[in-house]
Amino acid sequence: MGMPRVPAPDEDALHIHSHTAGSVGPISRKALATRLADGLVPPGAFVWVDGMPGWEPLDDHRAALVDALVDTVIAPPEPAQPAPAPAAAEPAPANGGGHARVAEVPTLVEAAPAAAPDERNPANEGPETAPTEPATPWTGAGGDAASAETPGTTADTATPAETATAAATEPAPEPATPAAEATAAATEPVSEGAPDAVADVSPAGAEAPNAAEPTRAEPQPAQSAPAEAEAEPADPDAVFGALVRDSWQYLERQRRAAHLDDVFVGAVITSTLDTGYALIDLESDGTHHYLRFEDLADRSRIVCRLAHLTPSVAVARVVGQRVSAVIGYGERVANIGKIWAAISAEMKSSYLQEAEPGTITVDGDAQSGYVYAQVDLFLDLDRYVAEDYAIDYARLSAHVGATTQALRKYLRGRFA
Amino acid sequence: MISLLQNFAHKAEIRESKDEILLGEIVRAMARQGHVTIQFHASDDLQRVRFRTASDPLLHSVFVTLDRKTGTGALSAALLGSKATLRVTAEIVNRIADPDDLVAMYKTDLANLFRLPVLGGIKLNHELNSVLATTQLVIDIDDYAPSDPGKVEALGKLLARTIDALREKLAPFKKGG
Repeated sequence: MGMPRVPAPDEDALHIHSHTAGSVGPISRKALATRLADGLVPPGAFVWVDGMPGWEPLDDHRAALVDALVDTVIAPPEPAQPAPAPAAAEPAPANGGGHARVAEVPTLVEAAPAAAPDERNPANEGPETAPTEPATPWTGAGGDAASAETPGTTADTATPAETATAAATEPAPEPATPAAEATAAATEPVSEGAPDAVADVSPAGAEAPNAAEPTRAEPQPAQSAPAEAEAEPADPDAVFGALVRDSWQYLERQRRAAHLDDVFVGAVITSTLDTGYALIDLESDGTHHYLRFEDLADRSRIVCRLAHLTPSVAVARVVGQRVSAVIGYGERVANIGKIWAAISAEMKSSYLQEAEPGTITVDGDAQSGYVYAQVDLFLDLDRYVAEDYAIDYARLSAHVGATTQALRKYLRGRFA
Repeated sequence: MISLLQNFAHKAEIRESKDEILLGEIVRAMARQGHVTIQFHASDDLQRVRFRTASDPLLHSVFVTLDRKTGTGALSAALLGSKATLRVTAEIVNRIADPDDLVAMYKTDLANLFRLPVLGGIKLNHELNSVLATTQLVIDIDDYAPSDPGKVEALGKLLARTIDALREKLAPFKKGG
């Protein structure tokens, strides 16, 4: 598409945009020629002039803008101009050399897009993608002082209204997506002296243009700075390994809490077998366990019903690892009278709605002739199983032994 | 008379409990090797226990499954004895797995597809982070239970020998530490 008009050589009417260098403008054709000669214009840059519907490749209009200049005056490079703003109703006045320049910003990339929030539309999102580095291709390395983009170098002769208007006329940068622009813009500091119409397009919202307001230099608060580097080892592989290791440790803690009752069951089996008993019955669904032991010599039996109460790490940390244990001791009684008495006691035991610790109940099995006395307890598994799964068999044997001895005394005293 | 009946019932009960008796001995034998139980699943004739092999630098856990086949009745016990299958599965766990392990996983599983872990054979099952080696033995429960010093030692040796064989099979699949 052709250019609606070719500005005068000294008319600051050109806006140049590049993905890598940001935007500059309005500048004159002479200034553009100077920049091109100095290699400050990256390839693939875009140009906009008032009247054009959108950005167009600079190469398409280079001949008209630059090559047609008869006498290219290598003027001192213009200071960086603020980023273009969404198109406004009024174009910037073309005053040629005396044209009031918009506030000059140190670097293009430091200038937030001049987009008033109410005028902003996705197409007009600022093209700012550049980081906050002070040096940009527009300014060039070792550029002369006049071209140095320093904060506060605004040769600001424009009135706030003109500044806002000029900024508002700047076209939307075509190539960038709105989301990317907004995000990128949010990361850019607005340099001092930028036109007030340079509104921030950060996701946190834009501010209304205010000509008199100095602009911020620090990044937008809405755009959180990159996560602060933790004090991590320098070697990334070591960091990754540590993360994996920590994850596995967390998983191991979770699993330990869930299966500590199974550890306890194995410990009960081992310690009871060590006292001469044999495991004759085992039923388990993972949470509820039923064990029955018998001393094959004297035929006495020990019964354990265990239920894991704290399979969760969180609960276990509060109340400790707890298991509900019903420990019983049984002997064979051949006397029918004693069996009947045991059954009678069992019926009385059934009246208990909920057994409490220390309450001894009786259970009789007429078929096998066994009578059991049993007691409810709540055991703290942490007393028997250490963090590294080491088991205190001595304590466990002592506790189980003391319980069975008490039950044996009751049983023999009651049914002797 | 009652005593006679009770004795008969008691003998039957003990006969039916031989597999549990053996399982108890297995648990104690493994505990003496430093392996604690971390999972139980037990029903009438099938008991499965998982041990955490904390003291083993290579293995993560060992599964022992005891499946009784014969001997619950007096006649079968007299004729056939108390036979059971003892299936031992050793597991290694790698902390990090990558896509190359997927290829290795399928290769291993394919190579072991038709392999039966009987008569001393070992079957591998590669599950990305975990690799399991399984072998199955047919044993006579009476050889290892009820407990006496000779049987306890024999059981301990059987378990150690079996786990060692599985460990050798799994060693090439262990990555790092």
